[in-house]
Amino acid sequence: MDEKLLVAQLQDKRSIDLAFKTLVAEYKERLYWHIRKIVLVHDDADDVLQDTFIKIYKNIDNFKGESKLYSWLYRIATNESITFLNKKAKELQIESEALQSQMVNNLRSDVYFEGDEIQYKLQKAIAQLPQKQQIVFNMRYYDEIKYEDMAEILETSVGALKASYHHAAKKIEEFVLNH
Amino acid sequence: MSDELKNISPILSELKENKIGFKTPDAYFSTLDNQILTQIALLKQSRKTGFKVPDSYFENTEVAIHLNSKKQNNFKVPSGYFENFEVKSDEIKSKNKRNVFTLNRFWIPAAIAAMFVLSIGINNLQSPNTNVQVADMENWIESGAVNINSYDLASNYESELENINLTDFVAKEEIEDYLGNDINEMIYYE
Repeated sequence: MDEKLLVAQLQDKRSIDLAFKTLVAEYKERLYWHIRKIVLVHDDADDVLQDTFIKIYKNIDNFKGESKLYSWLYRIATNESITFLNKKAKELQIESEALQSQMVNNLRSDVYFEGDEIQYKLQKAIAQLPQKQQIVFNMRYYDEIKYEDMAEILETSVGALKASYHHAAKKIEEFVLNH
Repeated sequence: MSDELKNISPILSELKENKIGFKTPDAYFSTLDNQILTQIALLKQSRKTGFKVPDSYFENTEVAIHLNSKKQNNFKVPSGYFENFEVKSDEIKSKNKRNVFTLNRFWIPAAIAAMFVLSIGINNLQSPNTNVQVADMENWIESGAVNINSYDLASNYESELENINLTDFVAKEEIEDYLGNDINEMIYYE
């Protein structure tokens, strides 16, 4: 469906229910995988995804069309994931770096992680990165999102994102070679 | 994309062929739409209060209020109720001599201040005003009106407690200053 038409229907009280159904069907998987790569655990990703869609529903009238709908949705999903992790770290009374390390260690016993040793090592390497670099790396490496779209989602310049991806990839390579 | 990665890291470029390794429960995505739409329906439901008003109620509200103001109040109270009302409230007061305090951000610092002062000795205090405050605070704590434990103290006033050396001599002016400043600030926490 044409994005402008979908947005118009989402912002119209008479058509929002049907349009929202279309939106969920269209974006649920992409947003889920984006969130899952940040929070790692399926149940957490499921919670964050539901919160993301609730936030989208509540705020759809505030969407002015200044960015693509897709970028706006990803931005909400990213922010919800980061908020979730910060909250979790606070609850556990640990630093976010310690939480990342704990999350990745838990992957070993996670029934919804079927990665081999290399995939596990890659996750460990990603967990060493600063949070924003992790997100940039995941979006580019796994999802192959264009820098221009990432710039809209993360509200960062294309140049900064390229540099960030370059640094992230180098650090991961070094980790994979030395561990 | 692939050239970019090959230039940065040939190793990562090769590893890219592997999948990420995450999976979801069976049929997760096929039931996800319903889960999300149910959440949205609940959200919409929670926004509604469930109360209704008769048709055209708001159009006629002004008239109705005007008419009602001219009507007599049809509610009744037992005879002599208002005459005896004050007596009853006096009885209640006499039955509940002990005041009840709620534990709030005002009383926690007040209790800390009291304990702080008591721990270095009331004898050091000369000002009658400060003695009254300390005595009051001591009574509140002893009577159990302020329910406070060491965890509350430690978690709320960690930095203040760290700086207190109970064996040090503390000047009277410093204590008064401490109590006065904090009490002024505490009022805004309520």
